[in-house]
Amino acid sequence: LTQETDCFQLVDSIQDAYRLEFVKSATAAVLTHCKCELMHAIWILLLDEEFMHAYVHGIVMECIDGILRRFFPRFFIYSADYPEK
Amino acid sequence: LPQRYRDELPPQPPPISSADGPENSNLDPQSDAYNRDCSISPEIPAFIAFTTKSNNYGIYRVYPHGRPSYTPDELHTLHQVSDSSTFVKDPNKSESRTWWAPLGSLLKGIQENYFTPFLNASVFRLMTWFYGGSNLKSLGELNRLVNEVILADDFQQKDFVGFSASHESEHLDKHDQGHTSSRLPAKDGWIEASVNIALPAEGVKHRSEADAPQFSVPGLFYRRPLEVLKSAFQEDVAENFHFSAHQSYWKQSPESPPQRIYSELYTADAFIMEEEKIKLLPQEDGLENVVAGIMLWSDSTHLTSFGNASLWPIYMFFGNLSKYIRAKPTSFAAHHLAYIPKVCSLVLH
Repeated sequence: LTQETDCFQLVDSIQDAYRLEFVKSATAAVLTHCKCELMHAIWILLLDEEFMHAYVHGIVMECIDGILRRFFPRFFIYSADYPEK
Repeated sequence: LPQRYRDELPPQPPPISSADGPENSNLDPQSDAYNRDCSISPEIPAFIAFTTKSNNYGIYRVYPHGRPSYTPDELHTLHQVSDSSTFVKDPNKSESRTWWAPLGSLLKGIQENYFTPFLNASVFRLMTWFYGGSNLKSLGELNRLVNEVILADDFQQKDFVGFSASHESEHLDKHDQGHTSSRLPAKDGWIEASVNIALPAEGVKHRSEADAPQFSVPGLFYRRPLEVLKSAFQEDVAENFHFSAHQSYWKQSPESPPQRIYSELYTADAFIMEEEKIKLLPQEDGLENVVAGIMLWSDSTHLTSFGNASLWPIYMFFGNLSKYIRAKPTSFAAHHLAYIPKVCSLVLH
């Protein structure tokens, strides 16, 4: 229970905004959906245009041996405990 | 000593010195089979795999896309594959990342100007001695004065010309005021942002998702992933990065059939297949194309034993670094990418 109090404000504010808009409270399912949406919104922010350009065309960096190489970022593991639960 | 009591030390990686040369590069049945299976465009000639000699354990590597231009194997030491608080510290250890490195340049400023708000290191050391430790004059405190202040490398007599104790303590008081700015300043790579999410409601229809009411979630701190990647590949620890994928095999005897060893990200088929794809891209400016293997972890972390302070970080690791180094807490191989605002389900009336 104590753990939940530190997020009270944010959930409160999302409930306030929700009630203002729809004149009813958000259900548990809606809140779960919102948290899932939050994860996606964060990843859209993180994988910005510059990153996606590097993903497709690579990015040139000088390595420790003094040689220039073109690096292509690739994701191999995404291990996450989603906050929607 | 019976064999079960013998603790073998981890072997050195198979050698790739220029004198070795490929043992049987084109003839290795494993690599040929691999190349046939994996080539994306059949009209492009398959790569000539480079096979290393075996080490004393009978382990050898096949680099499917040719001889690697760089391997960190010459830097391999026992310290990289072993870790215990009882072990002697590696005197010339190459894992030079510091505990604050995962946070990016956030704390670098503190490290470089550690004597702020004092004008120089000598005064800083003296004032630290004065305010720290015990209030009483004791032999211990005298030792601390000599060892931590007077004998410090950056201690200089001339720094004290015009020294005034009350003036210096005023410096300290003034510094504390008006310096309550954000702990994660933007110039250090951390960006504070808010993200918008669309709110749904049962029975309420909008023309499109864009028309749905938006809720702005504030308080996201993040670093741009590309900047994190750049710093990771250009700092000293990158000397341990593998730039070329390989398959690892073991033969009990020279006549035995080879047994594939799966262990590192850069020995995994997924990595090799990605490398294949980017090696088939044109080499612009004659530069080698290399996979930067990103691994992401994210989970809620409690910061205290008492109370409820917690963070939801996203960590970025690089699979080009051996897991033996990466997984050692002392290597600080994590890169902190973002702190997610904590959203938890409470308030359901």
